[in-house]
Amino acid sequence: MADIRARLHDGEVARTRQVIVEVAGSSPETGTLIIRDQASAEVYARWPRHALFAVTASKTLLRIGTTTGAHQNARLTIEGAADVAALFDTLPTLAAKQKANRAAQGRMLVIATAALGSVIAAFVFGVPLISRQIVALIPTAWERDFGDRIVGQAEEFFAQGSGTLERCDPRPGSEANRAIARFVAAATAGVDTGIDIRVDVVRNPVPNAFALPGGQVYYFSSLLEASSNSNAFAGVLAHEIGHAIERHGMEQVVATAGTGLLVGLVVGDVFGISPALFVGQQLINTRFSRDHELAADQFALGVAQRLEFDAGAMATVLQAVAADDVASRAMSLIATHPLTDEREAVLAAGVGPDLAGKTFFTPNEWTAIQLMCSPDQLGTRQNTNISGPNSEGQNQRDVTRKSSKTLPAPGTGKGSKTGR
Amino acid sequence: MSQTEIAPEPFVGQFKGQRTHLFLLLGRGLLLLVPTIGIYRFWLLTQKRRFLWSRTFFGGEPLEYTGTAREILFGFLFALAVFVPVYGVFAYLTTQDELVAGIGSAVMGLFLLLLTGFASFRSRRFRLTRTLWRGIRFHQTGSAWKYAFMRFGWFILVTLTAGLAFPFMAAHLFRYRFNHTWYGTQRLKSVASWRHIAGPFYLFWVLFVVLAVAFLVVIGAAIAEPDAGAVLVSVATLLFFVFLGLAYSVIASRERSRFVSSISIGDTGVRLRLRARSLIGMYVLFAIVLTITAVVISLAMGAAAAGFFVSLQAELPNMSFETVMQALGPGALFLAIGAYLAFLAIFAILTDLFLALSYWKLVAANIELTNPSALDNVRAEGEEAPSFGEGLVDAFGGGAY
Ligand SMILES: [Zn+2]
Repeated sequence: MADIRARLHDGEVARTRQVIVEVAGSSPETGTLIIRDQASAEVYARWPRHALFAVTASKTLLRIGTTTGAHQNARLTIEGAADVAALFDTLPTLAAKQKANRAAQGRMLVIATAALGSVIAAFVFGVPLISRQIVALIPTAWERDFGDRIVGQAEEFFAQGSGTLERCDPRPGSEANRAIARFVAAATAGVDTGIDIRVDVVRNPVPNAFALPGGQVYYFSSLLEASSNSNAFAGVLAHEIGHAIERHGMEQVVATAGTGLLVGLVVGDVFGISPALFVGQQLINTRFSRDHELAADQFALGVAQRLEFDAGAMATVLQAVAADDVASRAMSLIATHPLTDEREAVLAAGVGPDLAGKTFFTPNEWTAIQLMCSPDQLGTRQNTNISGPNSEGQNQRDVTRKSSKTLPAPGTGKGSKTGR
Repeated sequence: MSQTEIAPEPFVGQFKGQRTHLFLLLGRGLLLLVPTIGIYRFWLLTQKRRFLWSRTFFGGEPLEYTGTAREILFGFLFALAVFVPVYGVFAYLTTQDELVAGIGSAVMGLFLLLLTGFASFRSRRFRLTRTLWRGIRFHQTGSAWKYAFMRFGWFILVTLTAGLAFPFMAAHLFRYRFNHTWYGTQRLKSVASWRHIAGPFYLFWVLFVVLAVAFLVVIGAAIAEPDAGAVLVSVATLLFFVFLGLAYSVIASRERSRFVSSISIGDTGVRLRLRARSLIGMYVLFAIVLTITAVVISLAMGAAAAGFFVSLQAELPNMSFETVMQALGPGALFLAIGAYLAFLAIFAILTDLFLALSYWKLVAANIELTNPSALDNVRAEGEEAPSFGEGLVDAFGGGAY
């Protein structure tokens, strides 16, 4: 092969040297590239062929470096289509090295992706576990302070429609409130968690009930109207008390913070507030909240068992609310199991036949509770069927937008605010 | 030093890259971001830099970017070690009452502002030590924390003086950056001064105040006369933005040109002539491309949506929100996420192609190195700096070239 003209930068001095390149030796392993001055023919360098790599390679420009030279930044530049093609033909290792490098990059990419995938999986499965451990370290007094602080946020949250968190019956001594207090005391008897449960039935047209961190439980008037009998009411109340006692709200706050970090890591913007963050958190929290709902259901069944009332009616109320929540339905399509079916099975299995017909509240107590929020100023009384599409599209859309799932565990909505 | 050659011709910068080449690179890279859960961004950034560097020539010799995706990936992991505790403090603060949360967040915000200064200086060091020209790498000395505190102090001063201190800040920080920049054994020197940009900057500052007052008067008039007022306000707003774009282009081009031209590399001088009209042309082209793309996309989406709703037309008036959602099926959510990502990707591509690349081209093609033969005897010096700064910049959501 003919000698090829090139430019050499030896990596030591910035000067450009006009050189002639000659390939010596027939094998890639033992051969060398001899680089000499164009004018004086003085040899500047001998580069072993096996150590050569292409820095940039186009049809008209080839830049070569060497891994064994004294100067890792030494570069040989060959210009012109004919010379570039000739050198590439003579040095088959150049192309092979490029290919090997691409393969190595691909492997690293796969490994990094797999590692990130594992981290995500660890978060999805581990965040619930870790947040439980972390919450165990948080003093209950602190949790209660936190709950008190977000009552204001919760109020704002539900005051956007026609609803409020205004208590239907503020007198603690009224028959209804005494009945509810009796239930709370019985349900939490023997459970020592330091969480002090307070239940308020509030005037709100959204069929909902939720518990805030620290033990505050809200039961909305619209859900009370939809509760067909006292056992349905007692069951849902027990479910919310379960959320409060097991501190699900705090767990969600901790988990939301964790998932926020994770999504930031994926997107490369730890403090960015992007919709991707929101979607990612929803995906992870959906899984998490399913566990919470099951746990709360189990707690409610345990209470029913202990206090000897038939909690079967609770399932219908829970399902009715669940069916109205578009967001949770959309999310449950992605989650491994739909939310309601699984819970329905648990609830159905948990109601013993021996409890059929037994109630906790006396008929008088139940009547008092039902009348708590009358005289009715909401105009929704006749509309007791809360499932299925109806004229209250506006309200239901509000449910969808505000609470990402049914009977939100505390921290829903707030969770994403507080977690940033 | 300069006796080595006779009658040295200046080196004129050249950029030989094709926009379509970058487009293909970006398109492929953004698609690969999806299956790699975003990890590919480190590779994409590396490829973009390789592309820009390797097609930029001075005196017929290209720049070379020697950084790897792996380095930036590791830098990001190190940066996380800093961000996780900071993030934890943020998360804790948001659970506090409003006063504590407010004060805490403000303090953390200031800390992050400080950290961005640190990150930008360290990131610059990374890029310089991964830049070769004629086999010699650049490097950077100086303290990133010192730079961060100076920048932080200047930000406060500029805020307090309603922007009047800006020329002083710009010149001071520029000098600090370039006086600590080295090409091998040769240190760069900059004599950038606030006077270089004082003329246009203070002129536009005064004009801005006058126009802002005029704008408020117009709004006042509009409130008095609601009918004709709406038109008046939109025209005034438009003119105001045009003015801002104009002011920015004039000041930025002047700043770049004068500051870069204040640099010398030993006996070699740097000259940059960046015209305001070139910058304006760049922004106008970007605005046009963006508008055309937006129109095309909304037409396509409109057609798709119309198709969907026509198929439901009979029932549509009676359907609630949920039923529509149900009709859309589980695909709706994925469709929404996909559309959102596609929007981001298109915007990123257009920004890279018509702002970042155009600007790089303008600067590269308008740089001249006078008396370049003085550089012939520069020797190699400086090590590759760690990629921690790059990681910080990535964690901040940056991705500067
Ligand atoms: Zn629940």
